[in-house]
Amino acid sequence: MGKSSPTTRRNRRLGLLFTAPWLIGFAIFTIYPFAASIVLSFTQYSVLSPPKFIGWSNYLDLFRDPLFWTSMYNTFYFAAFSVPLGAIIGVLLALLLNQDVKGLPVYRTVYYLPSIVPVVASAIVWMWLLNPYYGIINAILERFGIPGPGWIADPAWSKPALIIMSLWGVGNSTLIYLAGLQDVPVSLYESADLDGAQAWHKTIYITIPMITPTILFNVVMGLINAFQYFTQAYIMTNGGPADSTLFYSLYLYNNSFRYFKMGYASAQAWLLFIIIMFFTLLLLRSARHWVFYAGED
Amino acid sequence: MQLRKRVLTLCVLALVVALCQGAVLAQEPVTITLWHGWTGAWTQVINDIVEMFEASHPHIKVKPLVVPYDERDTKLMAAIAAGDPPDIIYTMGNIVSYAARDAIVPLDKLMTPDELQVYKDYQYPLYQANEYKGHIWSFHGFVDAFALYYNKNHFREVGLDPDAPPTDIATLDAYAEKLTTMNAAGQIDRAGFLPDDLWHWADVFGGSWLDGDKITAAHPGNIAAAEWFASYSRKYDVRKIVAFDSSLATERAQALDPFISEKFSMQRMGQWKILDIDRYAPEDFDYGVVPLPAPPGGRKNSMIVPSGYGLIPKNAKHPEAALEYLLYWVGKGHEEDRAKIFTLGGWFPLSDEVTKEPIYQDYIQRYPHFQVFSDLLRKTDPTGFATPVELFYIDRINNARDRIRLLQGDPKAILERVNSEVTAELDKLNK
Repeated sequence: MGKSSPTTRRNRRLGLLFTAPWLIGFAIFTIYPFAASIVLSFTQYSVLSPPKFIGWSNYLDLFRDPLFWTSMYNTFYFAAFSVPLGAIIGVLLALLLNQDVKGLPVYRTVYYLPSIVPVVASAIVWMWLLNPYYGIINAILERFGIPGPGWIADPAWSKPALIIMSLWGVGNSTLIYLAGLQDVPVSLYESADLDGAQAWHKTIYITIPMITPTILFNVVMGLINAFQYFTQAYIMTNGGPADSTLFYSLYLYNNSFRYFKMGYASAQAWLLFIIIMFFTLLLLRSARHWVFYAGED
Repeated sequence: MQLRKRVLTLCVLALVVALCQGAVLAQEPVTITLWHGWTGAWTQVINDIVEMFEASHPHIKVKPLVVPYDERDTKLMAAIAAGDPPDIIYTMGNIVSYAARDAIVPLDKLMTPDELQVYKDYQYPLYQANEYKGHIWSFHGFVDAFALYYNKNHFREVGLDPDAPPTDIATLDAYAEKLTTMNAAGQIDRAGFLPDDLWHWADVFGGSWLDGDKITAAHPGNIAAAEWFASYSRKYDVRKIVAFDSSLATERAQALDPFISEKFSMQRMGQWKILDIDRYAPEDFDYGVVPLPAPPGGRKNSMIVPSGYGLIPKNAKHPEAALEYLLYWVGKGHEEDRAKIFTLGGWFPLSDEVTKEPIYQDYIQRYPHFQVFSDLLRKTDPTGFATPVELFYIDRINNARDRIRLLQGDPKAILERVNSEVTAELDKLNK
């Protein structure tokens, strides 16, 4: 490091001083727990007594733990359906909400509303909607002569029920898609019009390619959220019936806070980190084949 | 120099003042913190009991704090790790998990021989349920017992004798079938009876989940109970049971209790339901209570006590004062207060001395159904559940119950799997 002038040094000091509250908070509440959980993942630790170093045992035990695999399966199942469906429905809704119709702000608000409902409140409401006897969903199905399933009470339907429920909260990503749509240059549509393109062609060849960066962003975020899916399952089913909604994060929670296995849960958390990292990188690498950035060749 | 001297003098003065204050404070009552999980109208009940305690124990102040059951373990772990736990905590179980992990103090070490005797006399016959590895870890702050409630009007409706409730499983099954009604859509409208808690019914069938430290999930009695659970799924169509059961799941509280709202004709429930029925059921609601029916060779008068334990966490600041509070609940020297506690929350006193109190007697007269539970508590040994992997085990039992009820496999194989899973978990802990 070369010698810096007094002003530069002073600025650096001041800069550090002003960012100190955040830096300290970040160090204490994020970096430290992060580092601690790496260390704890190699221990047997109940919080109540000091940790005991056990090497890689936690990681090895995980692979032999049938509940770990159950939770993994449930989580992949959930992610495999909720993420693509969320993206498709999100884009479709955004396209609709991008039309020039009367009362557009109202529609946009309505679709966004579920996103501002507290998760716990919406989970309780959905428990009623999905109630096999009194729920509105089965009442509607009955109108069409379809006997409704037991939804979250039936292991065959509990995951689909939660996936359907997750789509209700798609408004958040719709909003981001909408912002992406607004960024598509009008000139492209105009020249397409001159070439006599139909609405369908404009959507496929202009709109969708132009919002692929937004889609990538939303899919990555959706994937991360899906892998960390917890609150709804915790409130509505608590992993049941018959472990059918025991998601990765829920099992992690049980291990740490119900079974006093903080070390094991830490190992599980780091494995989840690796899994999410892997899929995120995979998506980002695949992006060069399907994501189109305007302004590039 | 002058200034420094003056500052020093001031400091010394401040120190002296502080010490004097400390001496004065020592004369004042100690304040203990009490964590409990009673919300809503029940919070006031606890506050009333605390007030009664403070009146007879002027040297102790109690600060009750509601910590919902779902958050209790998390909060307690954090509090103990941070070195700032409450002085007393009431839990619904899991005490051995705490004891095995050194999170709570053995109460016998705090007690004088006299207190120990009082405790044994006044907690009979349940005092053993608080023991693990030769130490006493908790006091039963309240005692729950289970029995079969049945709706007499439903019995009359289908031509059954309302004064002859079932006393064995075969009769229970036959009555259940008679009492069950279906709605136009072919769904269960009213369930005569449905087996609910595999853990408890296994006990009724003569089963057992633990033999000392050993996990015995595949005990023949447990398997018999599991087969019985499966028989209901075969008889009534499992989908109908599941739908019926989950339709109730969102409305189990108080007036919407399925027994009070007549969704069930017979149900296994605890003694507190008597008070709920009194508060929320319509005038003409007519019901009876009998010990749980048992099969031949099963356990008669099974009542299991998965109830509230008062414990003192490690590093509690005032364990002696906390112990005084726990002993107060037991009732020695405060028999009248203890009898009153019973009337406030339906929490049985275990001591005969307390049951002689006029308040207790009046209350039993007013709610004669309590007598059934009172008799049960004196007739049977409770079934304990002392294992450091309690919550894991219970989660696995409930999961097995789901599978068995959904006919997802042979009950015996399912329970054998529970046995190997929980045994592995226990081995890992002891490794």
